[in-house]
Amino acid sequence: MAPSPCSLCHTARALVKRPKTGQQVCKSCFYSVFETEVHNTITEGQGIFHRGEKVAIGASGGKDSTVLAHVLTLLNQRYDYGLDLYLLSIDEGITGYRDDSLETVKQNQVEYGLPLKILSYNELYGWTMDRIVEQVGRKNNCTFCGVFRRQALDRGAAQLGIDHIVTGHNADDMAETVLMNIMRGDIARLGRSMALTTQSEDTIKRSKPFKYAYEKEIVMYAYFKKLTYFSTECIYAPDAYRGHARVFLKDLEAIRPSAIIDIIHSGETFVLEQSVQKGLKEMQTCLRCGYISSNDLCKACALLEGLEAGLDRSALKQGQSTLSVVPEGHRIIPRFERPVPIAVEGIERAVQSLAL
Amino acid sequence: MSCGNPEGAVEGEEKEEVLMPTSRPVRRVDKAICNRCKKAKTSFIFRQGAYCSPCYEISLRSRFIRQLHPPLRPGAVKSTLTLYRPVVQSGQALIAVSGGAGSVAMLDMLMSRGYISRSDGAATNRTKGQKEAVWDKATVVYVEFASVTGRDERTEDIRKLSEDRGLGFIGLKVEDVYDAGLVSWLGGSERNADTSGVKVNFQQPNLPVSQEPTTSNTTPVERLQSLLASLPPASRPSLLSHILDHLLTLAALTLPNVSQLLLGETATRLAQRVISGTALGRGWTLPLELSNSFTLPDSQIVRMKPMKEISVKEAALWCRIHGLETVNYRGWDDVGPKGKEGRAKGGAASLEALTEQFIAGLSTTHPSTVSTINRTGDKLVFPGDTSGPICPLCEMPTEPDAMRWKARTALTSLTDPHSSLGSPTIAGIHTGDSTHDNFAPTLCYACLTTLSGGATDRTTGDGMVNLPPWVGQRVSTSQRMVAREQMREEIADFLLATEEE
Repeated sequence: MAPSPCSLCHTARALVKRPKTGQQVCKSCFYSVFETEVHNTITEGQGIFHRGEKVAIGASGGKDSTVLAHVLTLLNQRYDYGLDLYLLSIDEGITGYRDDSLETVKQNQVEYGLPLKILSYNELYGWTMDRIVEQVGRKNNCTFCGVFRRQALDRGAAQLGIDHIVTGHNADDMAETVLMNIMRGDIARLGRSMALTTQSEDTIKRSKPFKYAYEKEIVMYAYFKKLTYFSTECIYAPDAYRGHARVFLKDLEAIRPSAIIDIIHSGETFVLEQSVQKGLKEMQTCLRCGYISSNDLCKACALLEGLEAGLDRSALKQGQSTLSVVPEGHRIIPRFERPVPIAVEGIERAVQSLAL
Repeated sequence: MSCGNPEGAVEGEEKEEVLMPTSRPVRRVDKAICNRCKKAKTSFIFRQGAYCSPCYEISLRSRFIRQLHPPLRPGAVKSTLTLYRPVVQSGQALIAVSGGAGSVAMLDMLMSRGYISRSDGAATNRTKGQKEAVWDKATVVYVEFASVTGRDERTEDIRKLSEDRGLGFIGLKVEDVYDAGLVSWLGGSERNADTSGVKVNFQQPNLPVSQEPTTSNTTPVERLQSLLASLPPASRPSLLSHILDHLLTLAALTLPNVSQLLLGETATRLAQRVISGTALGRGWTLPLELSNSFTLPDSQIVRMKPMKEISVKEAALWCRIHGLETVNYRGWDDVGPKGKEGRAKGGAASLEALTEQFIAGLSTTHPSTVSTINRTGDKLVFPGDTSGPICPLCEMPTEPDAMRWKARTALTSLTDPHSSLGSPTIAGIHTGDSTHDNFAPTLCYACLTTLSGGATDRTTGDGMVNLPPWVGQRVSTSQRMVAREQMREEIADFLLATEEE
């Protein structure tokens, strides 16, 4: 059988079938469309970045963040975004899982010349996930990890004076989130989860440049570019409800590959009732640590208090009652300080370039 | 379940752990006794509720009237909506019956509670507690799919079911979409030009259409089968669903004095519609499709779904109690020749069938799945304008800028990969192009996805396939329709301010 020519350049030999469109394309055209799609996502509307912005790439050492670091460095040079890129990693303290993948992040640091900041749960909360699991058991430990990681990323970014965090959430993750939120009736998140960039009043901006990139194409890109990464399937991850959604999504994709992007499209076009939007809680800051919260005490402080009190799974039910007094001997999370909102270095550099 | 959500955890828009809420501890009650009347012996247990037979029927009826009454009393105060029976409607009810549990149970509930006058002319005796009928007349409409599914015909069964209850009956066949005389047969008058010869070429990404003389040697069934065969298996159920919707709408608009079209879509089917509609890219118009009170375009006819709080299992049990025969398998997933396309692990060939299996499976471990999904669906609102452009295939409003969105997110050609944003194209469809011979630019996002991949290896000969006449009619209308952007361009020099100002 004669080799098929590339559907895009019509000259080179097609090497891959794009999972997203089903087109047979050559390697070079695959890179082009993949990178251009990410660039289109970044420049959509007013664009998610502005010149001189300090941007941290949330790096786990997995495929998404490894490819994101590569592509963002490339696009920053190609299209002259003028970004100051950093790598920001969170060490949850899971032996045999995170320590390996952090090696990949360190390799990226050398390869792309990007500054790296690693912040550990131990440093921030005085607890590692290994110890948390030891105390609370395997059930529900992801709740602790999820709440702590989100804060840790913001706190790491604040320490670096970062304006913007980008994460490697891909199209499969987005589609899965849409399905999950519908199936469990989480109206509040259904509306918010689809935004390309999110920013509350007092949190650091977050974006997902891989929002429309298929997981398979990310792996394909890493494979052809010979990028190395670690599997980031957590050893404590349970067979949770999300697993049902993921299997279902893969089945949908098997029947119609465009289903993933179609789900994202549907998710973006959903409009919720006014009463639902009004019913969402107002945001405030945690009275104990200063982090953004919907209650007087943020979830991380509440969870930490439960852990410090030696509670097992019941630490999850830690309420707001003990708010005013921190029990004696309990560790607390350091006060959250927002970075200076203006990217001073970026402005200095812009002034210097004008002077030249 | 191993994980739950942190209570009140809304401080972030994304959490790594987004899991199903753990079920609350079940209150221990004696399930041998009906939970409702606390006297009779339990006959059925549904979602942790134990019911005796009469209490079960009361429970179903109360949920039925909770959905049936509000659209019939649009101005009523909310608290009194379900308490009082609506006044007699000006027109007749058109009841769509598929023979499935939902529609048969709906028909039985309507008749048993006297919502529809019986044709025997017996007057209502209020002194005996009889309630006045809401509709003086009703007709049952049934659409037969046997010619494409290969299953047994059920037209006569449904005719008997209707006539036994003194109702009128209209039996349609799915291939009737190609029947030029259908409107006349239904009692209407043909007002539109003959568009039965409009053909589409699935071999071209733009889906060019052309008007050709109708070949007399092909029957409507052959034309429909040819259209189905030219589509990927995953797209066929969507097409059949649009044909069903069109035939029901046509019957409602053509039959004399119809004021309501009642569909027996159950909560289970609606939940499937929410998920599969999302997966098909139909999110924008989903609120309209789910609505229990949707006014059909260019008419005063209201389409209602009074079974939307009752699951298919509950409806099936109702039918069993009342000795009503039902068939609950559509067989749309096996229509047409099998292709090389992927199938899911369970053997499903379409997103609709896969969703049906998925929800049924998930409901066994998470019994609230259907109601939770529907609650989410109920919170969605349609943000657009129903008077805007209409998709020729699904006859729902088309979403603005959807094609441009698709072109940006899934590139299928690159003029200059290093330019910031060349001319976005998708599968060769130029989104800024107002080509008037093409079908693709007139379609909505989801229908374009449905018809895309009408693969070349499936079509035979010149690749031209007959479109159903209603689609051809809509295409020619949309081609003549002047876009608002075009109008605006013409008068741009005279506009002093934008509409928003």
